[in-house]
Amino acid sequence: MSVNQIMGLIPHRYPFLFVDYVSKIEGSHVTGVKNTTESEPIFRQYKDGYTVLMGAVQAEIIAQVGAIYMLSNENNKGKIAYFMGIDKSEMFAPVFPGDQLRLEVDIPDGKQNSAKAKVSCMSATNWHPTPACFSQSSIPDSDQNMEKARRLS
Amino acid sequence: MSGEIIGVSALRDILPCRPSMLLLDRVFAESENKLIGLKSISMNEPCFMGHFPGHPILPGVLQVEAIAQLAEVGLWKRLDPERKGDFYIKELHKIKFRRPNNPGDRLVIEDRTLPISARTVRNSKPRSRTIPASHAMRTESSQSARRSRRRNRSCRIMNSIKGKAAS
Repeated sequence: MSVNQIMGLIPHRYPFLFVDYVSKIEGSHVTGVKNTTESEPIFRQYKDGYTVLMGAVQAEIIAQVGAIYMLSNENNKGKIAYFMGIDKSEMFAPVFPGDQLRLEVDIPDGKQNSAKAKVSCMSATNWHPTPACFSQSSIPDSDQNMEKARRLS
Repeated sequence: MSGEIIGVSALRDILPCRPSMLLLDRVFAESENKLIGLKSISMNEPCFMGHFPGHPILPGVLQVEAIAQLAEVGLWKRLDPERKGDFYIKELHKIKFRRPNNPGDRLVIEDRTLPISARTVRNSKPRSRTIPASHAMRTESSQSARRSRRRNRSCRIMNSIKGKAAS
């Protein structure tokens, strides 16, 4: 499902449309893709240049995938999906510009107009910048960098 | 410099460009003369507001600009170590845009540089390839994904990067 079809389903628009691609909707399982890049207005930049996605925005990204599922149902066409709550959530790693996020949402059968979902948001990027590259200090030797990159990925 | 992965903050130190014209998210310096850049394309970028409404396509000239920025990342140490001047594109030869880039895709840009004089450098066949959004799941190593990866060169580039990072 391309971004045009996504915009046909959900009312979100720039700069708050966070799903770039939906690769499949199978039964109650939805898989979406979000590319992050530096020109997006949502990135928070600290004084020392460290740029990172705010954790709450990660929750909104996943919620929009859930909204796509809810509104792809014939009975809900043309409605607006509201974000009703977060039960248990945990952030494991920071999201940096350039990361590609894979969003998995699993919605068990429930009521027609509200649903609870099990979600996950993973980085599908193969190569990560190392923390050392983000600070302005000089870059330590590359072995050390690779070790950090391995731990991050 | 070889084997180094340059993130956004370090890129900001190197390049004078700022968002939304900073068109690289990450750079992998494979060797002195070869760099691989990554740019994720997202619907959340301002250029898609006008190019085109209801039909988002990354402007081709931005791909050219991304290639030029990647060249600057590779060359500033050699051509302008004291950071006195600016880098400009001087000539462009034989450019083709083969397929559109849409939100969800990722650009993988490969730059090789050939010095032709002390102050000018020529880029030999820089290439910008697209990883389509439908390939986003291919990081899982299923049998079919591995087969299609063999077919898809851009995925192979990503794999070689992954191999480097792990070795």
